[in-house]
Amino acid sequence: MAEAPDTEGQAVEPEAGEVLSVSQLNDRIASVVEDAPALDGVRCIGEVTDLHQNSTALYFTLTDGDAELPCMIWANRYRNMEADLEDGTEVILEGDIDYWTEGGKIDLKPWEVIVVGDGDQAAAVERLRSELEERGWFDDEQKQRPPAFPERVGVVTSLRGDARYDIQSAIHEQDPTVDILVKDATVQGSEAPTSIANGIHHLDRSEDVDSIIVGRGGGSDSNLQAFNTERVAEAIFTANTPIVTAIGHTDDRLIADRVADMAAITPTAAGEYIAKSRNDFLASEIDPLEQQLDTAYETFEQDHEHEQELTEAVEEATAPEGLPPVYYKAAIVVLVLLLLLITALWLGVI
Amino acid sequence: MAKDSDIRRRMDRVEEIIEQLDADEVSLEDGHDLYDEGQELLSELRERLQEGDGEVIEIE
Repeated sequence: MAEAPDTEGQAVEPEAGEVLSVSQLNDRIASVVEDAPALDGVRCIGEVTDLHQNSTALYFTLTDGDAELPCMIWANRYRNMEADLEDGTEVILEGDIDYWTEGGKIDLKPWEVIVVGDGDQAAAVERLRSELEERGWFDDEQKQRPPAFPERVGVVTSLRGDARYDIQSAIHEQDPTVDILVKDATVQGSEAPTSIANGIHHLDRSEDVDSIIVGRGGGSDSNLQAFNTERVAEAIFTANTPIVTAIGHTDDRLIADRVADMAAITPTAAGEYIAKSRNDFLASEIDPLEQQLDTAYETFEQDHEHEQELTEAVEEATAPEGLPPVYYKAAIVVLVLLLLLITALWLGVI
Repeated sequence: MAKDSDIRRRMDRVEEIIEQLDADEVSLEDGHDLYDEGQELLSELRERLQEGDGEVIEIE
């Protein structure tokens, strides 16, 4: 390994009390980096992660699991290389360390790329993925749907991260009555798998938690490795509570996403999914149901009013005109008695 | 506990009442009682959807 250069002699000594603009300071850093022989023509071995490219250049992070370094290869240079890079490829890069003055960022610009093979980390993840797939942990039959109207949602994430606020806002935008229980977890680094798994177990044991979001903001692939571990996968798979992941990743390579009951791309999307919009539900389901009930009753009432009017009309039409029958009967009796009296008088009986 | 089952149960009963009124197989008085029951259920549904404080609790 080359010795660290004596850069003090090459850099411009700052004057006491001098205040530099950002550009001036960045220029000074750039001149130190560019003039340091120890940073020219370096060779470095590591695993390619977070690879993406546009028409101008190819960008990725070189990592050895403990540390990472941003790298950039110009597109035309990459086209002339025989290397075919993808996430997980283990490579030896040879190039210069460069300092991007405008952005204040350091990176390695390789002119030579030697592909060593698949990285250990990528191979281990691939083995775990195959094993869990064989166990059926990714099967649709294992998935359970979270309730549409939870009373309490658990969230496993860093209390200091932005993801929790995105999740909280999205849930309360949908339904402001939902209680949210945020369990702090370390979401990157060597302690992350245990921390995340413990968070899931803790919330899963709480009887009043209806569903759980496991989330974090975006980040480079090497920061997401906790979500590719068996520990986290097992915690998700064995949980009785439905689990939605929100790891801020756009593809489906993460094992946690595959085991979860649902994988949302962003924390906001997870919050929107976990609770149904109360206002939308009232407008689309309850209001129309009330209208249906009113309409059904109005029709029912009108039908019965017609029926009642008809019955009354029939009764009226069939009723005999004039005096009630009892009067006619009484009149007949009186007439018969009068007839008998007249007959008796005529015969001289009386 | 999620509100889903409470909400579904009440909605199912209201739908049943609508069907009974549409079928027109009950007396005017019974129909009136069914309508009152439906209105009561809808009001309970709205109340159930309003329940909860929306608290955020942190666990270290």
